[in-house]
Amino acid sequence: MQAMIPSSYRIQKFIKETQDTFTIELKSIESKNGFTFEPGQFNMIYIYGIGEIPISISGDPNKSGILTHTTRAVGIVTKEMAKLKKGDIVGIRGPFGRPWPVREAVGNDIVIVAGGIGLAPLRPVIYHVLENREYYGRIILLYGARTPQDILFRKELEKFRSRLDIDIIVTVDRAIKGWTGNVGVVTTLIPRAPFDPINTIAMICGPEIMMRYTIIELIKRGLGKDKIYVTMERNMKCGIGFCGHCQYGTEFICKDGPVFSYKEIEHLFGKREL
Amino acid sequence: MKAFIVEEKNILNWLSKLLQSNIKVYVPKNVEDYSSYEQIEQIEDLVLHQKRPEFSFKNILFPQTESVLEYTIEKNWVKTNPDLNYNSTSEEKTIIFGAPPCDCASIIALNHVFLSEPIDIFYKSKFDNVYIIGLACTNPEPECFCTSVGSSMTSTKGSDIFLTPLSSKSNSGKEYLVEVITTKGMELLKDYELQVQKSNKKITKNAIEEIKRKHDSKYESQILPKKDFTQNNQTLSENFYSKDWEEIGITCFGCGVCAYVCPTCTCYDLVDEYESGCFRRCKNWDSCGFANFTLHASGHNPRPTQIERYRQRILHKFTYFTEQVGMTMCVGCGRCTKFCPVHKDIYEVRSRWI
Repeated sequence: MQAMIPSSYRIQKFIKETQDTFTIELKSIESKNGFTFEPGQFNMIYIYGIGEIPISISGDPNKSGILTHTTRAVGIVTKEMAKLKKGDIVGIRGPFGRPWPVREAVGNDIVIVAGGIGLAPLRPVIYHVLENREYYGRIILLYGARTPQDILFRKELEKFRSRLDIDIIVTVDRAIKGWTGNVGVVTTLIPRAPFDPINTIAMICGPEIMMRYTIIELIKRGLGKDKIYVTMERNMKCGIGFCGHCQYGTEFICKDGPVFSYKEIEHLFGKREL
Repeated sequence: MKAFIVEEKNILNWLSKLLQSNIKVYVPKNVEDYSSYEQIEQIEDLVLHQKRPEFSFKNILFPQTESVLEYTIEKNWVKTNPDLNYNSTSEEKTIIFGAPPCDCASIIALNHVFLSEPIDIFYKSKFDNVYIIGLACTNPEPECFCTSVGSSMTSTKGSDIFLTPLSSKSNSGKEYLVEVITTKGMELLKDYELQVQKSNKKITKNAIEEIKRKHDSKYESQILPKKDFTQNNQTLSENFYSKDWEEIGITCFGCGVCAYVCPTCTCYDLVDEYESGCFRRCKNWDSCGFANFTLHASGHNPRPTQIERYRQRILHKFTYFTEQVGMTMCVGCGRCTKFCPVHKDIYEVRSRWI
């Protein structure tokens, strides 16, 4: 891997997920070795001639042949990405960053709390724990989306749910006709979620404000600060701790994160405009 | 490592030999209406004990703009320019001669950033070929405060070889204390033998210290009073929400000159350019003072105004970097104060929380 120079990947499949989110599946042009990563790591994705952005890997860490990214069309680069199709080329640098603590979580219950597109960086965790099911206790996914149409990976969530060895609870901010599930923010699901607070690792990804309230609820349930993990976001350029854009106090989110335990960043997390 | 006393003319002879052997030599030099480190072709172009240049030599190691990728887009294919295949042999040997200790010290901060894993190959290819010959400061400016960040007019930090002029007894033969600091410095002397035979006076450690103490005390009074900016970094973080920041930051208009003239500011942007069929990805200097530095695609900006941006600059230099690396990310050159259009004084700001 050359950390500063992108290598070319070709799009094998373009999947429209919801109205504004999509998944691309990529295969390396230059190498046959496949792409290995750990759940929670990200790549710098370069749209030639347009620009480069960090996007977490949303695929299965056990399938190294295909590299999967899911994102929402928001900025200049993602809006261009949304126009890509099968056969197009993108540049990839990575994988970068510290992963989710799936190894440390062995023997524990796992609570995954995701908001919106925040489910994408956590999907590799779900794949990993389901493939190594015997090493973990209860697995609970609490997922909040804006509306039922905005639920990401809906079919796959239904498939996971049918396994019966994972609890999936979904809530939406705004319901539509025909929705019989939960309505309300994802934090309302925490008090009744079936996990043992003494032996639980929580992994959270969503907007900062959602993560803040989720942490409060989890601590109320008795989780230790060192058992709660979040993934942070900042503008990034280099992805490897040089360019300074993602500096977060003493930490560089690209290099020291993006996954942090709440204990590590508690003193930074509450700071406004850091 | 090694130290001796050498006459000035011998140093100049040596440098002129280096010049003849196709080594690039940069020295502090006045160019039209500004001064910076400029390449010289002959020894006659060298003026010793110049005023400190307005720009540091940062751009030699970390250019203001630099191509990191060049390519053309063909049908379903991206063709990259293989000439940009960087390694240490692709750069020429370069000597930076006569740099003041503040600029030399900046190398240590730059190395901490760019030579940490996974190493910036663009920086390393240059650094490996750059030799720094520092010269004791004889022209301090009113904004200087190097003694407050753990340095001095004779500090050898960052230099491969360091020269201190001796207070001459006569005008005829000016002499220098030559200290060889690094193996790189040794290498320079080995390849191009410095003519030391005649004046190879043995010198003791005490004598070296005495020469430097004397030199320092001569100029110390010309710079800002010594304070300790290397300690108590926590006091800055503790005052994160101080009302002072508002007063300090409100007049900043984010021009970024402080970062551009700073020898240790390392933030960069990656920008795409296009010219007649060819795309370029450039590594350009950036500044945490710019409004879009932290701007997210969503429109959210974690540091929404100049108040937070200026605070970030100060905290990075004196708290975050110091906590991580054990030194300030500031060499006390005072350039940012000198060039700030609203006269924001870094020394004064840092002094508020000691």
